[in-house]
Amino acid sequence: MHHLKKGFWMVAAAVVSMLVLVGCGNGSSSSSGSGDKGSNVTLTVGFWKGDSATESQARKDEFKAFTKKTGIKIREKVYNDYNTQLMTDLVGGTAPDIFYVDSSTFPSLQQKGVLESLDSYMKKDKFTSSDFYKPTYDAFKGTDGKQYGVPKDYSTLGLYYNEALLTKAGYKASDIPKTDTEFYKFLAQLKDKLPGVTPFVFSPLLARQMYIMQSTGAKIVDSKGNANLDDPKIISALEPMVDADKKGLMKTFKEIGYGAPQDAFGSGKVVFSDEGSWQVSGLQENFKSLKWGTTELPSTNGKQANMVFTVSWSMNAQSKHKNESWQLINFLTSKSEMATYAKKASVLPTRKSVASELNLNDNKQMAPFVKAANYATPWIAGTNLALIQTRYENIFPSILQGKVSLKTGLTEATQSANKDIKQQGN
Amino acid sequence: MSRAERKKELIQAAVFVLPTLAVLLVFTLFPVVYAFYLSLNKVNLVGNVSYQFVGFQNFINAFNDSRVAEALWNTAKYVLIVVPIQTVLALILATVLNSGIKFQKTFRSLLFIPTLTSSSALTLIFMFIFSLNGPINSLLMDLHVYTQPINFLNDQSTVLYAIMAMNIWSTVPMFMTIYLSGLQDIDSAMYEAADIDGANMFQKWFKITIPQIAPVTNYVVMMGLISTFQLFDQPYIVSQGSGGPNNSTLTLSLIIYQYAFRQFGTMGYASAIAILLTIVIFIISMVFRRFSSEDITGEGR
Repeated sequence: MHHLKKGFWMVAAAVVSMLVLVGCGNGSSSSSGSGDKGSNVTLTVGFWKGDSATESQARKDEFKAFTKKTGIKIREKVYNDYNTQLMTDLVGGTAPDIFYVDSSTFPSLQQKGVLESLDSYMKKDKFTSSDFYKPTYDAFKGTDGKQYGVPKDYSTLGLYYNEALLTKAGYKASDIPKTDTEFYKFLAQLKDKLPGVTPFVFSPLLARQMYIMQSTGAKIVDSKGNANLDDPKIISALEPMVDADKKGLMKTFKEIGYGAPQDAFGSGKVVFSDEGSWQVSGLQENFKSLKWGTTELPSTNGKQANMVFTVSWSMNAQSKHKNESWQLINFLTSKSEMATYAKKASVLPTRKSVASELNLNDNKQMAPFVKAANYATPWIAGTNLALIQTRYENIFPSILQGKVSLKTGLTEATQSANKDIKQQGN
Repeated sequence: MSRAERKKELIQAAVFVLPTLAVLLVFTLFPVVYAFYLSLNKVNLVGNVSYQFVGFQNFINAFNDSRVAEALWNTAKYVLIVVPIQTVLALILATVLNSGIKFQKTFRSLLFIPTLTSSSALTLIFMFIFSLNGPINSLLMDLHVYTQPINFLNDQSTVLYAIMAMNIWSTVPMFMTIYLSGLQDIDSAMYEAADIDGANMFQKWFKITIPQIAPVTNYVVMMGLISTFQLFDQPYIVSQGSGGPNNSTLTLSLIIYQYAFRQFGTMGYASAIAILLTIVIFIISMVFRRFSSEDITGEGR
């Protein structure tokens, strides 16, 4: 009898522990199920943090305003490693209802059928696209001609200059040359006049060099999505840059021992930096005493060229709350909300009317970035861009150090990328 | 014990084991089997899920992939340098801390701190230490070892060695602690006997300590082998996931990560490389076990 009792309690304890384990699984699914009924909807919104605390605050305020207006609650899901985490979420079926999509990952996501087309919702609500900067809006048009996202903001590259160092070398901001050939000569003069100073700091990233590489008429990716980095035209376009790095006229932030381009420029030992408009708020926050200005990038091979980076709000094709999701996208990208957000977060609005409402064309710091939106190359190149980018960024630092020649390095990177593309048949 | 009681006890045992077994099945066995299944397929898990059986094609591709070969070579180089150094250093440190020097408890706690810190935080600290304007460069330049600072983390010929230094520094304390507990198990009578025979410190160390502690060494080397083969976080942080510059920090785990999470539709290939890594670790551990002796010479126990 005694044994029996003991045994009973043990079984009971084990059963309870199993129930607890099983219960965890059940609990979460039933609570999300109950959200379906009535207006008591909670949307999950996925995004990465962004460049500044003000941006996070502005986003939070927008969500609050939306909940206040519609009663739809929002659960935030912050991605620290966007690509990895979003991929895991998509595989596991736990991806948010709405999430950020970067233009570079858009082709892959769209062709995998992950995103919901917004066309029918737009038609119903008479959403007009003409107000948006065309390159940013079209970045999220699928291969089928449908729209899969609304760009929330964008950035282009600008030339940041350190005023004190220019003055020290005997120049004014208006002396900065407007063409690349003149600009390289100018960098050489600065190097002579300012010993111990790096004339130009840049990032060895495909996203930052793509517009230069394509300035001689070739594309970094061919029509089939294969890498084309070893095209003679691309090599010749990159040559001046590699030479300038070897001469010490320009250096990557890593080569001069910094963890980020902003830190290198903020150190006050660098005259120029080609960075996005996101660096404006960063410099204002972190390097308050630094005197700096922005201007347009010098022309590349006779033409104005630049990159445009844009991110959309897109809807998950698996979302259970599609109407509410569209309501949120429509709200966030509406004229008034975009203006509020752009002002608070100091980002560039994708609606032209908002840009003029905020007088961005007259804003000394922002105007160069806004101007570039008219001619910039979007950061999109087919479905294999991530792979090609990894190979390029793997080899480029070694090319700059002279461990591999530009031609050999890019040829190897291209062959390695294309072998992979062929094998994996993306 | 009667048959009925025996049966009851068996049921009891089964009930107790059940929760653990369930966890093991769901989180260990199932992923292993699933990974093997994935490795035989061309898989797309995102969006329109599809499996296309390709047999051993993923494995054949991996054998012909120069990046996989390079990653294997990097990993092997890393293992060959890190495991011996960390084992020897751990044993020396443990001996010193076991010798009754002053403040040995304080030293033990201090030395253990790196092991308690997250490895990504450590990596960031080390990236600062090894940076162009960091302490290592200024120290070596002040000592006139060289005049121009070395960009350890941006140079394909030095970056892997910098990562090795990081890893040795952060794992040695952990193994040192394991050695410490091993050292305390050695019978002090053996040392006393050696003292009477007139053995000096080194003789005692080589003739008593090292043979007596062989089982612990086996464990330490085995754990060292497994963890170094799986090297991932430091190269990932240092190269921002690219394995660069020029594949110098490309390890097998990093390649697996790249195919699994950076690219779409290559989960099968990633699984195949993961299976290969498992086989490599398994074979090396087996070979090591075959040639290492668990027998302790003499009469320690």
